[in-house]
Amino acid sequence: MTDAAAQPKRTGRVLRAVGRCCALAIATLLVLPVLPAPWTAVVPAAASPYVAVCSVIAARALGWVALLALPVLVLAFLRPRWFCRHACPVGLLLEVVGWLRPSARRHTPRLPAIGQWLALLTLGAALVGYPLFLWLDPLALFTGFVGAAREPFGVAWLVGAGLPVVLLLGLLVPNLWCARLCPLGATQDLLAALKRLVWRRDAAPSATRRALARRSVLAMGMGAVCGAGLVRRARAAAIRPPGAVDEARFTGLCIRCGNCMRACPSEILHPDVGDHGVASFLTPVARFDHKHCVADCTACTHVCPSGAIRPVAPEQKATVFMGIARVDAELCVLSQDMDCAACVQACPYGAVEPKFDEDTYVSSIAIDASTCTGCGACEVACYTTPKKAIVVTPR
Amino acid sequence: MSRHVSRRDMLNLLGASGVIAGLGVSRAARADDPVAAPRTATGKVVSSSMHSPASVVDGKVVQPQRTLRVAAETDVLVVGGGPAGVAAALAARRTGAKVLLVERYGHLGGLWTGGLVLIVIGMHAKGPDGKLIQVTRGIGEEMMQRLGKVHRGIVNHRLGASPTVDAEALKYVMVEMVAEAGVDVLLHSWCVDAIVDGKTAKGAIFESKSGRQAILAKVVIDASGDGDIYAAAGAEFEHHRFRTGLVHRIGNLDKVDRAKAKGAKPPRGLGGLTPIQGVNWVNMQGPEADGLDVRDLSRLEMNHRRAIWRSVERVRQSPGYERAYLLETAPQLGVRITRLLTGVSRLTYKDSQAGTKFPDAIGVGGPWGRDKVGAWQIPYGCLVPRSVDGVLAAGRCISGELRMADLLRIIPPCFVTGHAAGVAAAVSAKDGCPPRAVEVPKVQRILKEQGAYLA
Repeated sequence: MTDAAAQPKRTGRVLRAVGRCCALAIATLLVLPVLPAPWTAVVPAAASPYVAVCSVIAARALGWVALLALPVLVLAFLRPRWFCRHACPVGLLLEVVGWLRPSARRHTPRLPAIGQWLALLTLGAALVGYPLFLWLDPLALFTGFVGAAREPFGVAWLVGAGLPVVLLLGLLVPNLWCARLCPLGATQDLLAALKRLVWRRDAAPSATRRALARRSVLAMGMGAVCGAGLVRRARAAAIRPPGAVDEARFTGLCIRCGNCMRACPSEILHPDVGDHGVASFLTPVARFDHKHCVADCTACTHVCPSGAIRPVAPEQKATVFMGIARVDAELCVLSQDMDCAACVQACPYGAVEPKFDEDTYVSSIAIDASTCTGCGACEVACYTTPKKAIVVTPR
Repeated sequence: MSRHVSRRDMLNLLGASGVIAGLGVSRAARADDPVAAPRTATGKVVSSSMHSPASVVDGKVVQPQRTLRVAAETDVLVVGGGPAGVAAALAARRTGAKVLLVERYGHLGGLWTGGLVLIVIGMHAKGPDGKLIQVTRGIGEEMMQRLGKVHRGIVNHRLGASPTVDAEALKYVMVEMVAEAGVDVLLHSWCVDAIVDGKTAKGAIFESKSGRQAILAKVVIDASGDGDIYAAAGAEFEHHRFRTGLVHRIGNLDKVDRAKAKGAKPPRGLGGLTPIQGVNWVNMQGPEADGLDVRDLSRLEMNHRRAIWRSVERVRQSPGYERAYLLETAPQLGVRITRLLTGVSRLTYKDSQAGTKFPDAIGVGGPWGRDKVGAWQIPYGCLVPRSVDGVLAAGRCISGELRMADLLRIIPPCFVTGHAAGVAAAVSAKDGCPPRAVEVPKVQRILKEQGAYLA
């Protein structure tokens, strides 16, 4: 090889390295609250066509957030895996981790394309509304990790634990994630295969085509069956952020990136640590210990990359229901004839009213189900301890 | 028993029954002499020949125009002798003003005594450092300190708790304090109208056994609870229906047979403890009613008395509670909210939750729950009517949105707004400027000197 030929090759390598570092820096900046617009945190995870395609199908809704995946999607058709080699922040981190063990085997592990199975399973499950492994998207794991750095204490770090696990995997078995597991990488492979199938029919031997078709049908069928089973089993058991899709599909659509929890100025959203079943693990649930969901705030609804939480306009907020308040008359001090109207005063929607029965002379709190959004203002205001007499429950 | 019936009395009787309606007997325009004659000799047969009653003119009952006797001229007239009114009268007097306090019942204390609302809620709040502090200080706290010195005057008077007082001890303490301060007091006198000069209140008219008389004042403090005087003077206000109940006390609860009562759930309607052992006070929410409608008030009084009797009977039927009995019902119906002033400022619930700071803050209110953060300031503008001068509001009828009024109506904010209104009125009278133009920093300084807590 001559120097003249090596020079452009080296320049290309340097340019590629600089580009990947820039991509990592930009993705980090977008997730961290450095920029004035908090919604930028949505961009990295939303750029994944895996997340976009599956969530659009599962949520049956197309928003502007899904369009953010268009560049990578188009790129995947033109140059397969270009994104992985030139822009993926997780890919860069895995490569850096790989340098720590130069002795490890550099070639691709001999394993089936699990990533493609994951992607196809998820796609099949998305058809029935429950994209099984959407949360395995590397950009979602990345968002969860970087975002967790903003509040490194408490259970919030659990949301950021996915990326370290992937990096540890990279240290043990280099190349395993990118080549065999990553559903985003596999999505690009599948798109490339689709392109060959449609535009260059002769390029792929018919045996490969048949294998791919068989795999697709089998994986998507399995995904659909599993997804349908999970959708049917899901029950409304948790208080979700405002604008969340129905509980049956929420745990599937949520990619556990933690954006909504970090966007909440009242800090009422917390990762579920198993209170509402395995499917709900690490999804956001609302707790009204000290603050409630403020009437004019829609912050969390504009940072969801997968459409698990749909955007809510401020003027719609009063009609977006998170749950409904319920009163325990045994605990309510108003029902014991004491002068208390804390929940009545606190309700921003006028949904909580004291009622007096002129026959029994007993007072009680009545909740107007048509206006109670489950914002938790009453629960926060309630004076009874240790248990609140009024609490928000799922509708 | 002999009774002298004058011709005028006879006419009056007939007139009232409408017999002479439309006969053209018109005395509506005739001026009359003041009613309250100088002291009459006992036992002498008299005729109030100088009195001119209402008459029926063209089917309408007409009151004659008449000149009223001016019973008193004062610097500050305080209408209403509840927690706000008494605090206002004491504050104004201590700030150097000549003060007249007018109360419709025969005792002071308002709903705190006559209404048997014995508990004082919301005196404390957690500060920014998480430490509990007392936010209701000044004259209100002084009253409770004095109650602490009399026999069975107060219980639970400690940081973080809600003190409960004895109504009789409180009536006594208030009389002592008002007398010591040198406040002139008129009891059994119901202020029924304002005296105005254009858009400025100049005093008030009151009715009593001595008849209808006038009081002229430099500043009037409306601590009537219902905003009777500012409304009569032409100030703007909101009128609300609100929960209206009646409190009662149960006795002999120390004689409950514990052995018999064991295991069973205590009956409803036992209420909360009072300084007297074995006696509880029992609150009542009551239905929404118009506290300015005498029909509503009468209906509730009657219904509530029946309900209270039934409630105590139920208590007595519970095993072990046979000796409990209804000690008394409150002489005064528990009207919570009626008129709310449209003031220069209007306190909102949002303000109270956000802890909004006001440059003209004259006092602080606290949350009801013990573990709650959130003291809230009350601006002076909430006491000042937007559209009339010469009158300040104090107590539950000051300017605030309805849900805030539910917090403002309780006793500690009434102390605080009363105290501030008293000082401001005295400053206004002394400086010769209308209440809305008083030097607020001066008022704040005097309030602090008198022990009030502003922030």
